[in-house]
Amino acid sequence: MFRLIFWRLVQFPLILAVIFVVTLLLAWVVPGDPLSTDDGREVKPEIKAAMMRQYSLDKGPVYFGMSYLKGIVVGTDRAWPDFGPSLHHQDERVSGIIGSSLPVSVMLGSAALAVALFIGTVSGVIGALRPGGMLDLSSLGVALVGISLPNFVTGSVLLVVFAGMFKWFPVAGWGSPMHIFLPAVTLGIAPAAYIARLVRLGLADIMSSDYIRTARAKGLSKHKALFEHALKVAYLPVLSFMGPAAASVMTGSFVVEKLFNIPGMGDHFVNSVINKDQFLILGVVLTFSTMLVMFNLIVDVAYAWIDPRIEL
Amino acid sequence: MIKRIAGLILLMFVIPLVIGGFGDPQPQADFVYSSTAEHNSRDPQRMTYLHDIRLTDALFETLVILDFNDMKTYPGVAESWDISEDGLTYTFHLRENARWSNGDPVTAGDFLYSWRRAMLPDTAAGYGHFMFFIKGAEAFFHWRSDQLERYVETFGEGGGSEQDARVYWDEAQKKFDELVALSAPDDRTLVLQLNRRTEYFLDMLAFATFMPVHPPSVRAGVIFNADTGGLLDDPTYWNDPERLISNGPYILQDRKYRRYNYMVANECYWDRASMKNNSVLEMIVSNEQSQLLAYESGDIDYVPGVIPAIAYDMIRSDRNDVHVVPRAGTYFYNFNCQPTLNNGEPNALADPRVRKALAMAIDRDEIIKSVTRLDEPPAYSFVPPTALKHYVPPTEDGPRFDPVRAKALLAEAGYEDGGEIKGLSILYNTNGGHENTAQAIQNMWKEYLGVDVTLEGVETKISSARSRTQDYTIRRAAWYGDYADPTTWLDIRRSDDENNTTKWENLEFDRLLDQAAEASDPELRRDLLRQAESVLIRESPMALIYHQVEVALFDPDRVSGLGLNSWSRVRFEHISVDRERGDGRAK
Repeated sequence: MFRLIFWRLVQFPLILAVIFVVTLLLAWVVPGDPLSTDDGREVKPEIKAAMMRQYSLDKGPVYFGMSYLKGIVVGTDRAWPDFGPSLHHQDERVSGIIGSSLPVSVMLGSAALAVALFIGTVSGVIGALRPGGMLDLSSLGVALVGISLPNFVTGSVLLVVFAGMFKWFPVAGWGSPMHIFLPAVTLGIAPAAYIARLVRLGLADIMSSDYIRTARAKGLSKHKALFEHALKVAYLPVLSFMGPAAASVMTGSFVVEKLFNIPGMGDHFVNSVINKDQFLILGVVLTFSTMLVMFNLIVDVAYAWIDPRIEL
Repeated sequence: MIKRIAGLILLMFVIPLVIGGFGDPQPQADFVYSSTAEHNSRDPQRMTYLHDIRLTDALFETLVILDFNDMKTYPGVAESWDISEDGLTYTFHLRENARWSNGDPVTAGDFLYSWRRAMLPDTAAGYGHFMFFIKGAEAFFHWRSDQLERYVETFGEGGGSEQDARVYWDEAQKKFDELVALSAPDDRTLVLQLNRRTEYFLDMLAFATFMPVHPPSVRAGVIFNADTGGLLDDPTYWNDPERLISNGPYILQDRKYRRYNYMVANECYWDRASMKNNSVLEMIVSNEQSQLLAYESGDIDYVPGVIPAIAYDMIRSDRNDVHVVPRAGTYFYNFNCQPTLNNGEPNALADPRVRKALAMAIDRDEIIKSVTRLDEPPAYSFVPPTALKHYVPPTEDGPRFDPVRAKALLAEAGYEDGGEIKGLSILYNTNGGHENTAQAIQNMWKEYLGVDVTLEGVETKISSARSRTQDYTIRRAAWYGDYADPTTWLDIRRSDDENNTTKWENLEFDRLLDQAAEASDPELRRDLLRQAESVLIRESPMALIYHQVEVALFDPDRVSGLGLNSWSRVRFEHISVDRERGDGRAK
């Protein structure tokens, strides 16, 4: 297992380097001028040139990439790692922007995952207890709705009902545990439905397998067989799903953040590209990729933890 | 197994608590207003957006305050000023009790430093050219640009050292003293000379570019860039609330990126005693619907602008907290006026008759009634009639909706059938609901003139890039005034102005603007400007559509001292809120 972790860690910088180069080139060829203002006001050519010089945008992607890389690896006297200044929000450094939005998204993302795991596991197990029964059919129905509904619909409904009508939760914003509930449910409902299906299918499959039948014949209770033996195996696909799911929910969702006015990462994925803010584009993409690679590694380790039969 | 899964779920709940991403709860303030976007810059010299100026208005104070409600100037940091007979030399006398938030006196040298900062190409100030009204400023700007080019030529790529950059900078400072007619004979006197008599110069001083910054704290963040030789004065450093020192009514106490800006009264402010509140909170709410809900529940006292989709119903209700304010802005379509298009084809729009015919085939009232729906005033002049006190634009010359006359004009230009005009398309940016207006106009041109145009919706950055290279035939645009004078609009249609993306060139227009600039009699000057605008709208390098309005929300029973004006500028220190008052809707 340690060998695997070691090799993964060696691959890490290579993967990131490839992502860096591809993103840099894409960010460069996107049409539009990062320094133009939205209201169509033109700045004097000399001022434009000075801005380009100041941000090292005038020397092409290779020079820009190298100095950017230097900022990340070595850092500057402003920050480490330094992803440079934002071109659109001139008072901010990209590291500051990520530093303030990433914890928000990670927090919301883990709450959403907890919601997803809880709802998903419980309804999956209930479904598997009596396949084809009322509970199974209704959880199947809920899961179908959960997967099919886009989260701006789920979110809006939750917002109108629980914040607007019942006033149990604040309408929008960030700053207290009450703020996290509705967006976490919105964000968690789709993965919950997915997990429920994975758990239910896996359990149903394993419960009818030979070794469980043998164990049951020897007098093992149904509950014991289900929870102690079958669930272990049935949970493995959930874990493989968790890796990318964690990376994607923890790096924010543009829609949910916009809807609930949450200052997370999701916004940057969209707006950094619209604003052609090259520093920010690279910063968020690198952060996202690092998290994705990291979560996949964690999932592999968790595999071995949940099921000792699996050797890595 | 259950335990392990439960452990996993628990872990997911624990992670957030460990990270502590909630941060501090939002502070309470005497007055709360909202913004839908995070600021682009709090740096007075660098900022270019209106929502940024609103914030800098609270934090920094200029020499002269322009009240945008009565359009009169009041003493700010300067308690008095003298203007020479010829209108060229201004002497400002700074008040003795003007203080920075750390207690330092605000000196003439601080203004000199800040204005020089705006003139430096190093700062890359978006509105740096406003300084060019001062004699020698433009020459200094170009001198420094050339000097920096020389630096790169001399030392090559990455060849110089910080010391070299310093030597160049010392030279530049000497050059500034030599070239620019701006001086501080003592701490409380600032003297400047203008290139030419500028009637509205005091009004211009109210603009953010002329605000002072605290030199010691800005200097602390300055780096000499050995590669370019330039000064890198880093706004991400000194602008942080922990370091930001301001001289206006408020200081920036705290801010959370994309959540809020919290300002409290500057105890060192000279006019602290007459401030009507102690704190202002700007909440950043990117979702318009959430913004409205927060306003309705009383969390926000003032919403400066509501999007049309929401505003439409509100202005038709009998609520007394919905305010429709005309803005100092005009919405229009630019025509590419070059004789040939970029693809080498001849350009029908080079003929003013064709442009005018198109402008006359737009039924503005219909667009306002069924597309924009906010009762915007239709535009028959470029300068909005309500924006300025002393200038009446020549609206009588603006093309009116007249399909018959439009068709005749087109025939006169050689197009008996509008279908003969080929290759026209309307370029617009897809954010902001411009598509509906474009479709309506497309239909009108087809119906009234038989002219076919296609629609091209693109992203803002692409639209402006294409406009810059004249890679368009017709393009949606809007223009807001920066200062209270007709030239803030008219100047952008001068032949050589970088904002003149239509490439319309008219010598008479340029000449009238030049004459107006030289005119010493204000009445004569205004008359010349009116003549110039008349030439502009008769030649129609753009089709004027409507003047923009803004729908603001605040309960007049609760909020007092909040004057709404065309310029969307607010003086927060005059506002007081009585949260006990107001009706049931906004508690």
